[in-house]
Amino acid sequence: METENINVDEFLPAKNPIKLSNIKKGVVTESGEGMDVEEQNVIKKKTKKFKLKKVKKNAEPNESKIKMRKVAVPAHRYTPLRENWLKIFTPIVEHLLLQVRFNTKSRNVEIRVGPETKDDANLQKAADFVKAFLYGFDVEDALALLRLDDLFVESFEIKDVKTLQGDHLGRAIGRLAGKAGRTKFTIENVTKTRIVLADSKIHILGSYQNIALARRAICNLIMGSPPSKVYGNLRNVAKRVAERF
Amino acid sequence: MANAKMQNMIDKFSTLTEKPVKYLTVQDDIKKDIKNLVKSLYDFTKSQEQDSKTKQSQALKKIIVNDFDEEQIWQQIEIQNSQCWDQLVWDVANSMSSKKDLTFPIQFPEDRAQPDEACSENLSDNENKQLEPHNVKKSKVKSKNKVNKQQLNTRTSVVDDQFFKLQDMEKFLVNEEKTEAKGKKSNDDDDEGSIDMFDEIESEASDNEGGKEMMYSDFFNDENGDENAESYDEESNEGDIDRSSKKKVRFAEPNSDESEIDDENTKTDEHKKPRFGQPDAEESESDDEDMVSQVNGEKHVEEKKSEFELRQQRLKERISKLEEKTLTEAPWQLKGEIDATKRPQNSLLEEVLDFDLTTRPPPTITEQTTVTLEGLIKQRVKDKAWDDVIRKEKPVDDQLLFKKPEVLDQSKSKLSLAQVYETEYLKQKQALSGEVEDEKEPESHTEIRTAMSKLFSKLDALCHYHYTPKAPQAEVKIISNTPAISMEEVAPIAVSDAALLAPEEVKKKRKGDLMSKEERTQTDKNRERRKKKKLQRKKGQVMKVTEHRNTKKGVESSEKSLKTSKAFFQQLNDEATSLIKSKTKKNVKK
Repeated sequence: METENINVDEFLPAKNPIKLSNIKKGVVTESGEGMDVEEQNVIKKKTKKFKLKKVKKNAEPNESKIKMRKVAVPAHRYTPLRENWLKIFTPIVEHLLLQVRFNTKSRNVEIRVGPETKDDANLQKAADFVKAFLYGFDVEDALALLRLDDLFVESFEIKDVKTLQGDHLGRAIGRLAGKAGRTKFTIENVTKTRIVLADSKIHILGSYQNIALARRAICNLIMGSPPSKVYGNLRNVAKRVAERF
Repeated sequence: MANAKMQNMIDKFSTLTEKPVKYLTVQDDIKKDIKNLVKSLYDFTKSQEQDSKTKQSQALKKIIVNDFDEEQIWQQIEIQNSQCWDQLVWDVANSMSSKKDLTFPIQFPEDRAQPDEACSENLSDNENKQLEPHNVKKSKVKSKNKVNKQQLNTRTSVVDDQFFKLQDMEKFLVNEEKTEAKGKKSNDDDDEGSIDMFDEIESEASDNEGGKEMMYSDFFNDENGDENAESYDEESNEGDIDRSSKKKVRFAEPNSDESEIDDENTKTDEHKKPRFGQPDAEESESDDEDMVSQVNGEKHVEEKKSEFELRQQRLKERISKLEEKTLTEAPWQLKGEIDATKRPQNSLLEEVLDFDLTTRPPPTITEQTTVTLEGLIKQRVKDKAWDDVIRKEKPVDDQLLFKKPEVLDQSKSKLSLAQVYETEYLKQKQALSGEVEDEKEPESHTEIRTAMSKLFSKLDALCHYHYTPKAPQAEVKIISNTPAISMEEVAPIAVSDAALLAPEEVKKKRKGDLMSKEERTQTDKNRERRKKKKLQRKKGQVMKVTEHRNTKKGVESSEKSLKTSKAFFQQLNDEATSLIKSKTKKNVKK
């Protein structure tokens, strides 16, 4: 009986529970490559697929990290994912030529390298793209990740910057956002980044330097400087950045 | 009868014109009298006219005075006058041509009656009648002359004079010789012998009527008077006809010049110039050259002067006149710059001054101008085309405006991040590539635009009522703040230090004295604090997006975004039900 190491990443129950009968027969294949499922005995996992381009018959319980990515979907992003599913998987499948699916049971978005995939590195890109969407960014903003190489997503928490409790934390978050999100948008516009404020977590999407600028601005805001001051600093810095390029 | 009438009229006339001053004002009371006088005079003279004239004349036989105004009466008289005047001039010329006949009769006793007669007939105070008596007079004079000539058995010589007549002298001499011849036989001692020196000088007394009582008038018949050619026509005064028919001595008088001038004025060129004043060379030769003109009882006596003498006389007169002119003080008009104090009062009012006006004269306001002006005003009010002055603001020359203002957009960006980076990338690419090809205007367009702007600026300058010229705009010069060394190192000669930033532009100069933080007084500290606060406030003031020139506030969408599916479907449901309800209602109604 072969027991495989349990993959920490995978939260799924074993797809192909090893049955004595099978083992006896010695049909178990190790890797889940490709479409060609030779065995007839393979129990197809019934997975709920909303829309699948390709029906995958995975005999294997685990897929190697190299060829597959799984991205967990938090509950609050479930509906948006459903709404924007078309916009999400279209670029992945068409441009990156990957295979993607949403595992409703496990609530994962799974991306897999297919035979027509040209570049395996795209897998990571796609995973990042989906992850970014699941953080809270807009699809169009997250798409930038796919198109440009040098965009990153940085996440940190407020408590990393400064320990705040209760009201202070609330006020800090309010300071970050501004009235109707003005401050956040200002920073976004000046630094050419996208910011997502998720309670205590802050995610910034953009190029490295811009992220740094935005991060500095946000940190200053967290630490208590008034927005006007932050704007002033931002402006000067942004001008210099712009002049350089 | 005629004379009496005449005399009447003359008397009337003299009474009416006693005080000519009265005629300066209108005299209504004697208007009628004057009219009647004029009428009577005219009619009388017309009646006295010779028949030959009446046939040709255009003038009326009797003047009409009733209900005619002065202009019309005068016209009638003028017709008559003009006719007679022509004839008169003609006759005078004729008579002048035959000068020899124009001698007044010498004062012989038998002739005295005749001149009186002639004079009496000259009693016309009417200008119309002068020709006739003159003619009469002339004829009489002619006859007299003939008589005289016959009597005198004339043979005039050059040396003949008022006193001396050659013929008489010869006669006398002849008689004396005769007597001498006789006397020689009778008396010896009378003539040739010794003259008794001690005898009383009685001879002179006996000869003359009263030796001691010799008067000027015995020798000279001259009475000073002007000789005027005009006065020859105006023989209005009867009492002055003491014309001695003797030849008259004429002294060099200042009047003679005037008379000469007058004569010349009245000459007619066709005939020999009848000179009443100055005798010609020809005239001087003849004895009976008496030009007698008489004005108010004055008589002239001519003396025969040689040409040279006359010329000299004239010259002297001229000289004296010129001397007078130059020596006397010039009138104030010719004295150059004259004050009001140096000329008589109000004398400038009578002067006709000539000067140039440098300023434009004020416009003459006529009815037409006012009408046009009012029309213009009304039209303007209707059109509401006022000429109000628009408040102008001086453009502030703020060089900071040249710096592109950094606009902080506080709203969610419309472009997604991908698009943002895309545009940026494209810009970079274009910048790298060099020329920006976007919207290059065709040359013709730019030419047209510049030409038009120039033309319009010129037109504005000409016709804009409140024109202000365009303020000079600052030129933008881009200076890169590179260190001087780097600029100098590179070879190009064209680059100069002026292209670099000045030290003040690198770091602004601090006003006032330099002082350390410890040296500051309270006021300094406050001043610094205030400055700092001001700067902070400025920094904090972020320009809203809508304040930027290029942006406008849009319309806010009032819809609430449907965040949950539940809400979405609920709304959908509600809409559908309402629609159904409305339709069912309609159906029911139908």
